[in-house]
Amino acid sequence: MNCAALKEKLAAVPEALVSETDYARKGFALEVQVSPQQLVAAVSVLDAEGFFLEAITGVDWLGEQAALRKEAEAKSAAEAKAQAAAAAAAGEELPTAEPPAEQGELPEDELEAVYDFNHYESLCRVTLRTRLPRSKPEVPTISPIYPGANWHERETHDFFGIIFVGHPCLEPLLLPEDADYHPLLKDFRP
Amino acid sequence: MEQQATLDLLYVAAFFLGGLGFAVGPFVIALLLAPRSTRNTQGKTKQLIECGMEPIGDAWIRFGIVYYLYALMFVAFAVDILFLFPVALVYKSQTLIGALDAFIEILLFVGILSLIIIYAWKKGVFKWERKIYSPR
Amino acid sequence: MGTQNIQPAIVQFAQLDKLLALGRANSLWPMTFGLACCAIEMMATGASRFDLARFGAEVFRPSPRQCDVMIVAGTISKKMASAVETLYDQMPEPKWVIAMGNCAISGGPFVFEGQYGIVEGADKLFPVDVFIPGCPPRPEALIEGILELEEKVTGSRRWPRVEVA
Repeated sequence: MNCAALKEKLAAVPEALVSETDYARKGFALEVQVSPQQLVAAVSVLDAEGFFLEAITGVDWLGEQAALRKEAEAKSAAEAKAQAAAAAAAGEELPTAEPPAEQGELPEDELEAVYDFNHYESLCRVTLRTRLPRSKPEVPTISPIYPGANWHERETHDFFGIIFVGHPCLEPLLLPEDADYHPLLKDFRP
Repeated sequence: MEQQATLDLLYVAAFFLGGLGFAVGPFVIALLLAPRSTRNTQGKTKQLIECGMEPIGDAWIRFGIVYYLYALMFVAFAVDILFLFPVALVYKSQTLIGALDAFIEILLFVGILSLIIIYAWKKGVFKWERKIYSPR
Repeated sequence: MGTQNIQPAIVQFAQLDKLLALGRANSLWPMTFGLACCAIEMMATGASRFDLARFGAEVFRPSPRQCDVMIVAGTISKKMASAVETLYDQMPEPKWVIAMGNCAISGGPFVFEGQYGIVEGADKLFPVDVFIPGCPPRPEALIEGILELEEKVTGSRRWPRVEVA
């Protein structure tokens, strides 16, 4: 089993984006972005290859869409300025600048579930990522495949509010049993 | 003779009372000297102990049947010891032959009883079976 | 909050109290209540180099019904708070509590504006007799805490206090 063969198999999963990364810089050799519906298929591929689960955690991408839009606006403004400067230098008439396209509603920010896998015999760490809408963060559970994921998913649900559909018992693991808050969300106010 | 018997009986009674005192005394002392209630925060003083958690299930659980065999062995040898007590009284003798005679008799007695151990050994009583329960 | 007046013993008089206090102080049986890092220091104190057995306190009982002193060693998280209180309830009188380490005294390094996870000090749950500061306190500090508790129980200290020259 080597990383290249695994990459082929993972790329075969529909809608998966597999990229090789620099292990020395990032700590993992393969990064896979899947959709929530294809998560179980991708994890089954890894299970068949003999990988074990290291950790499950989450990332809160609050503010990402706003930041991306701002970046895009800044970029187009800079481009326009550069065009105008070039045109002025060449002494040409500039077509009237079009008003920037009407910006619609910002798309919803997302939560991300991150799964780390590793292999006992060969050096190949794989990171699996799925993006979920923030208003309905549901992702299928992988505890039928990896029973050890049971507690990891409970912890991730505890702190991020990601709901793992089909989990036998999604109670808080680290927070008190009656906690209804998710502390690691970026808009958590105690 | 009467007096000797009464005296002996007195000794036995004294020992019996002493034993009783040893056994019951600490209970009485604790009852008299211990505080009668304890400070608590949640009123959980009388709860069964499960390391601070709510107890799950009952304390009367099924335990392994192999402990029964150990108890049986113990009982057999306790009865063995019981028989050795009266032997101690008639053990001493004036002549060497008499002493040897008593010694060999008691040796035979204990030897026959120790055949229990050999029997149990052969039957595997002393092998601690690690029972692997059926997988889920 | 654990400060009720308890019913005293049926037989009680001053000389007996002194005798019992002497006995209790010299054989404090702690409960193994290591929650976090301070537990390691507590274990080190019970081990051979910093021997706690010479003060009679080596017998760490796991059951609360058999111990005198609960050494709260470590951070009390909110999830664990009910278990700690239950164990405190289940200890019979006379009982004492030693709060070992900064977390058990006041929450330690985990206190910040709006923290959601820990109870800020064991004395928020029940009365504490001796506080041992440190993060973690050295085994010698725990021994000093035990000696302080002995002084609290009997009224006199086993060894004179060390004066730093």
